Amino acid sequence: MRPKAGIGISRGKAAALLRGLLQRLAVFVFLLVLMSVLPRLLPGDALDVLMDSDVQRDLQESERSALRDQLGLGGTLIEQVGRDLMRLLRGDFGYSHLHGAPVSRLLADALPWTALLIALATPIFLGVGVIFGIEAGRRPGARLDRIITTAMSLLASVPPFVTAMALLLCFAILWPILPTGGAEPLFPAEAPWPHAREIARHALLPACALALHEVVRYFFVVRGEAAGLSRRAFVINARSRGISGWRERRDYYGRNLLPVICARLSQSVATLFTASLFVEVIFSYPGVGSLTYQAVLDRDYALLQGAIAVLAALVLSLNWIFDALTDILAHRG
Amino acid sequence: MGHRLRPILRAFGLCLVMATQTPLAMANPAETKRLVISNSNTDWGLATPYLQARGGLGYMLTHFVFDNLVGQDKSGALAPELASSWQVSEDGLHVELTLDPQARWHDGTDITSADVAFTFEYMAQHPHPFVSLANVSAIEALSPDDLRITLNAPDAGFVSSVLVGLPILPQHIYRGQDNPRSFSDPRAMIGSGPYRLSNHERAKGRYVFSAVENYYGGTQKYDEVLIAKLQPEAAIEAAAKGQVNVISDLPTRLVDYAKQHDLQVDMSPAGHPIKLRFDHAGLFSSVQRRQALAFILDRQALIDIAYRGGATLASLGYLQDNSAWFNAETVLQYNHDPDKAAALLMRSGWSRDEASGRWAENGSPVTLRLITSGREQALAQVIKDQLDAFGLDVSIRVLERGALRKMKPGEDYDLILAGGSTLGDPVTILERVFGTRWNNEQYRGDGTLRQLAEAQARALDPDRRAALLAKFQHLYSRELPAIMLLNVSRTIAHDADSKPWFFDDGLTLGIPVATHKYMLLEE
Repeated sequence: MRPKAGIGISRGKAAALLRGLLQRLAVFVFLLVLMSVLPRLLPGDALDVLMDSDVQRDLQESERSALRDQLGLGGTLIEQVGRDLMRLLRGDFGYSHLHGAPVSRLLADALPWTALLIALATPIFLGVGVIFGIEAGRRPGARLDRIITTAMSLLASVPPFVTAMALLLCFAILWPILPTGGAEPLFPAEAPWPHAREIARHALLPACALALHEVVRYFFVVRGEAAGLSRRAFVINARSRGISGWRERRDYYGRNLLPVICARLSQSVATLFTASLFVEVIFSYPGVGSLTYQAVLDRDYALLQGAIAVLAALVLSLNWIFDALTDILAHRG
Repeated sequence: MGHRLRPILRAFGLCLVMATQTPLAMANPAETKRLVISNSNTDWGLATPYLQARGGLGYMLTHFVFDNLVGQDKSGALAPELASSWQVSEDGLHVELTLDPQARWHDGTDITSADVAFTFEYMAQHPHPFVSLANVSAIEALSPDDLRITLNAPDAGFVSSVLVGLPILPQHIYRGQDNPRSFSDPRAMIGSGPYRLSNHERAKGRYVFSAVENYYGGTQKYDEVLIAKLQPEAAIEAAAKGQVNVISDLPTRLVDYAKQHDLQVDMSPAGHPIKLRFDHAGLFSSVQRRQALAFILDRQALIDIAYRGGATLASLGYLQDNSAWFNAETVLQYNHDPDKAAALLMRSGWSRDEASGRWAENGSPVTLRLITSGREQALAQVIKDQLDAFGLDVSIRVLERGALRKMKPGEDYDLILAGGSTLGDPVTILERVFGTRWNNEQYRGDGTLRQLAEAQARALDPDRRAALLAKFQHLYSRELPAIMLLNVSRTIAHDADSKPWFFDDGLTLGIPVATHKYMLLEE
């Protein structure tokens, strides 16, 4: 039975959804406080790191405290954290003194690039993971299954940053058909189509590196579920009626795997953002990952907090949406 | 697989083929004369005195946009910039300057002595991180183009550090700005220099500077200067295609690779020797122990192993051979000599266990606590090996830079390994050797060395100053407030047309960059 959207959600379900939302809001606020407190507990003084230079002269204590105030680093830990939270409540992400720009602008510049990588990586890991998973799970133990599963196990045993570097080495250095890093060539084309193609060329390798990180997980989840389905009566029955090929894979496996894939997606969102950090650093890609990494090294509290706030909001809301979707799909059976 | 998948696969394949083809042409209009400089580092902030990122490159970018009162000629000697002439009074307490009447702010406003006076007052309230104005007692505008600066005490380095290093701000823009560190309006970047920042893409670490029309200080060689964030390998490839002209931070390991791509490579000691500094109140308050360490360490081996040729031996007399005040003759040498070291250590009260060969103080074995940052980790390991072979135990702690700055001598370490600049006017010696900041040598001694350093900073007669500094270098190499181990090289690669150069004593305050604004101007 196919429930109509909206109407299919009972009052109990709606309450559960609301509860989920509230829980995530609480997590979000907790994260904000944590991200305000933790970096400040790092050993050392942010002012020293910010002003660290060999030509830096010895500042008087009065100069230091004036600087501290100008840079928003003054006051006790509680005062600083309170100031941070009040600012964020007003919707102000603050100002990055290292970049000389409002954090919101830095994030607005960087987010599209990370989003592009994730948008490109998602069809890759979903396509490869699901197709191979179904193929392997359709006939568990058959030769194809053994080959694919062995290959995936091998891939799973290699740390993802190593596969990223291997991709870089193979396709950008030894056989240089793709660029080594960056999001665009030094002199981007002016016409829109060639420009789009250049951007795609630059995004391909990091997107693949990001996708490989997830392919293996999807493969094993889908294979396991598909192997279970292969033993179910309706599949055996369908096969005996001569249903095979695309129709069998789509209608008998695909549709029944949808809730599992959806449930997995809600976790993937978080891992993808985390993985984008090392992928962007390896491919010098100008996304939020690189920005956050640098912010940690530079003690750029405002930027770090802004980046985490935006990422956390994205991850939690997507996670909530996928959970709700999974619920509806599972309910459909 | 089903026939319905086929068109999708075909489209995907086509995309892949398209994507892997190299772009047909790059958009590089031939009319614009453009210089492209690559740097592998991240964002350098905005090109204003208050929004530049810490470190040399940030200052260098501001220096494109903001002229200082005094500049440098090709050899690094002082040259007119905003001030066409200056005169220091006999007693060294007054400096009179005449401004270049042609000088204009980028918005066309005349630059007057009122701007200079305003800058000094403004920077007293909002300190410039690199330049101290504590010695300035008064500044008065005598006419729109003439002014007089009065000092509290004579300062031999006033012109060559303050006037050369301090950027002048436009009064009509900065007046009333209470917090210049959050003033990032485009107006904040109205300066007097040869270029203006016309585009800055932060996420990509990309800057475009455009030549200012009718610049008073000469003709710009390039219409546009682009600074792009690129990893050195990618930059070499791009340079081979003619897209990059200067690679501003070439690692030593890539020197041959760059040469294979027809690039010229320039190497210069960065003037930031790696120093082994001491806890002067603890184990190393004894000069014999400091001298013994200098005899134990085989510094050439340190360079060969930890830097593979990317460094040169540093002078042990503080000033390095790039300085105009360097005097090799007076500096003592400590060639690797374990026997001399052992004798010195014995005299300092340590003893060597005959059986184990390990050193001990009052019967308990000596373990030296050495701290450093990740950058010098390899060097620290080689030092540990050398000291270990001599019979001294060393424990190394590698710390993140914020944590490293909080370490206290005595409490946390006996030895600290870190780089430190020796560039710029020698007035900086007072702070770098005797100061108490984390990267100062924090030396006390019997006071003789400090008196010499103070005397040379007041000596207005160059010959007398040179004699004092020669003496200082001799005494420094005897007392060894720190052991100057080696001088890491700064390397750049460039094509045949662009001609960057390093100043012997660095740009203005001692910044070891070769892509300064002077290379962007016609001679």
